[in-house]
Amino acid sequence: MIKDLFSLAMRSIFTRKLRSWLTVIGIFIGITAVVALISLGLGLERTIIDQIGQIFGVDTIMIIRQPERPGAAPPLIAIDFDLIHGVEGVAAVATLRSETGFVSKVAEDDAPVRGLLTVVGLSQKMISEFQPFIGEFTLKHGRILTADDTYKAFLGHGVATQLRATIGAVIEIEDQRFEVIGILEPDPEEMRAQAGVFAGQPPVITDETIFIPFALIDELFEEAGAHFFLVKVDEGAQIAQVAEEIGTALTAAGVANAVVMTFEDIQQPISMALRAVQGFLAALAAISLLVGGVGVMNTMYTAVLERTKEIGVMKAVGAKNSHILSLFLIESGLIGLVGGVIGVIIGLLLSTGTAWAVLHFFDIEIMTVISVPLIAGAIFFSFIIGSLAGMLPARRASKLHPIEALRYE
Amino acid sequence: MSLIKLREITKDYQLGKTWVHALRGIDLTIDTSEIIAVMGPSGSGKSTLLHIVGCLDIPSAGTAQIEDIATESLNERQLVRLRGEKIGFVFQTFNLVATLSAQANVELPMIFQRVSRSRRAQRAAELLAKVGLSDRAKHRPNELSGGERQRVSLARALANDPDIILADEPTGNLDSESGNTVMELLKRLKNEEGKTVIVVTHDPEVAAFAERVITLRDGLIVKEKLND
Repeated sequence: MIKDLFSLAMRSIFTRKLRSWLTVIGIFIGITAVVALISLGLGLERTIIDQIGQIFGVDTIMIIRQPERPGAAPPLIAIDFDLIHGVEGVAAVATLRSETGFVSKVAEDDAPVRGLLTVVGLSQKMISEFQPFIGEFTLKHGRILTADDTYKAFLGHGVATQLRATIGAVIEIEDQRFEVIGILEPDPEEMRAQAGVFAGQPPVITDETIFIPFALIDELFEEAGAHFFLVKVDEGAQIAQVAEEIGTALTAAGVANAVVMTFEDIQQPISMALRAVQGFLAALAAISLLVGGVGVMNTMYTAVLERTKEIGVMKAVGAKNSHILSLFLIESGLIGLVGGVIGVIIGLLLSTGTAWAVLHFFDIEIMTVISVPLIAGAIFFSFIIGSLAGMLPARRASKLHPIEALRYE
Repeated sequence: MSLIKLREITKDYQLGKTWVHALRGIDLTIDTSEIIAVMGPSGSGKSTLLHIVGCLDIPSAGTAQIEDIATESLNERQLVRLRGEKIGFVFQTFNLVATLSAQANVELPMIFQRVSRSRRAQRAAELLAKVGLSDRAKHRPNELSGGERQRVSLARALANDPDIILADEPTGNLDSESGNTVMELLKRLKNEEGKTVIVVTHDPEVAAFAERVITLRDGLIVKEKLND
């Protein structure tokens, strides 16, 4: 029965090709917009999360101190490395502290050079284990710090030039003498230590920075501690569990207001924000779907009017009201469905094309996400819109009195 | 045996602001396997009478019985069912569904009676053969002549093997030769299959095919005549 009504509905859609297609266009533009926007949004989200993962590392835990107010830079936090190492599942611990210090180089012959410069204390593991956080150091001269070094420093290219420092030169940081052991190549990317961003710190500009061992920075500046600690977990360890145990250990040791964040914690608010934007855009696009729905309703009312006599005939030859109702509902539902399928296809093509264009012209890679729930949802939704829009016209058709319908000219 | 019994039938309906008294008291009994013509000027109530017999409408007063079922006691669903099973319509303007082939038009009433697809196709082919249009089964109505269309419509009326065929000016849009073909077919259906046929017509030549001719005027039967 349904099958027969279905083929009757198909027949009337196909005999009114132009109008049916125009109505379908009304639906598929909306669906295209929704699908393209959401696909791009999902791709963007995945790309961003992926990049965060590359910098931060999905197996990394960050410890900071609760800022006094939201958005403020977190205060220093002092933690004994051994305390964290004591937690099961911890593979490596590293930290970094960035300060501005008074630096001078006493030259034997000419006038002394001095200034306020960025001084970063690096723990040894920061270089060996958390390289994505600070980037690779490419040396021009000398070497970088090793575990045995004390009162040694390596310099960014810019700062070395400024201080006119060479290997073996002695500089004074906050009245403490350091020997220059390495000078880096000019860094084209300039921005390093992006991880600081997650802890509310500005990124380190490698070229303008003096790097010293972390253990010494406490001596130079008041108040011990670092802005954040990074923990790498053992392979296969449960990150959330390790994070929880670190939290417990810190509380037990009396470290106040420590916040232990995993990759999940960092990625979640970003995802949420992206999704909110996505939802907003999709809602805007959905307005055009509403317009498409009104188009379907219009077409169906016209169809009912046009086929009044046909409806009369069907009733005269034994069609029930429910048959007529189904017939028109199937027809409008089909229009919605076809619009949905076409919209999904074009929407996916559009988002893939846009991602390609962005990669091609701006050299920014956005992943393309083909989400099955999105596709299924969009098609189902367009079918529902078509059916809803057909509801009133179909009801009118089914309620027509056969004699009046037959008399209709 | 009387198949259709109409007693004291009146039908009033509102057309704009005025009430039309289409039927004012009709008594009529029609037997099984009878062919009857209803004549009368426009507005005499011929079509209304046909609609009441065809269960498209119920009387304002009086009783209309079809096979002892009083139609005024039926709800809309039951009327639809009775109509679908017992009655076949033939219209002056054919009223074929323009988007469907001759074959599909004949199948249409069977769809609503839930006849299986294969059974439908077979029956439609038989009926088209019966009206002499086997070679036209795949044609759409606009590819057929008036006479052919009316024969398709007759085949459609026969789809559910009804007892009663109601024809409202079936020859009104046809030339006399096509008209005669249609009337011959109706007569054969009566003779060979025992169908009861009611034909509304203006045309005395058409009425001549009937065994009995009744004439309506202003909603009343004013003349009843038996043909030889």
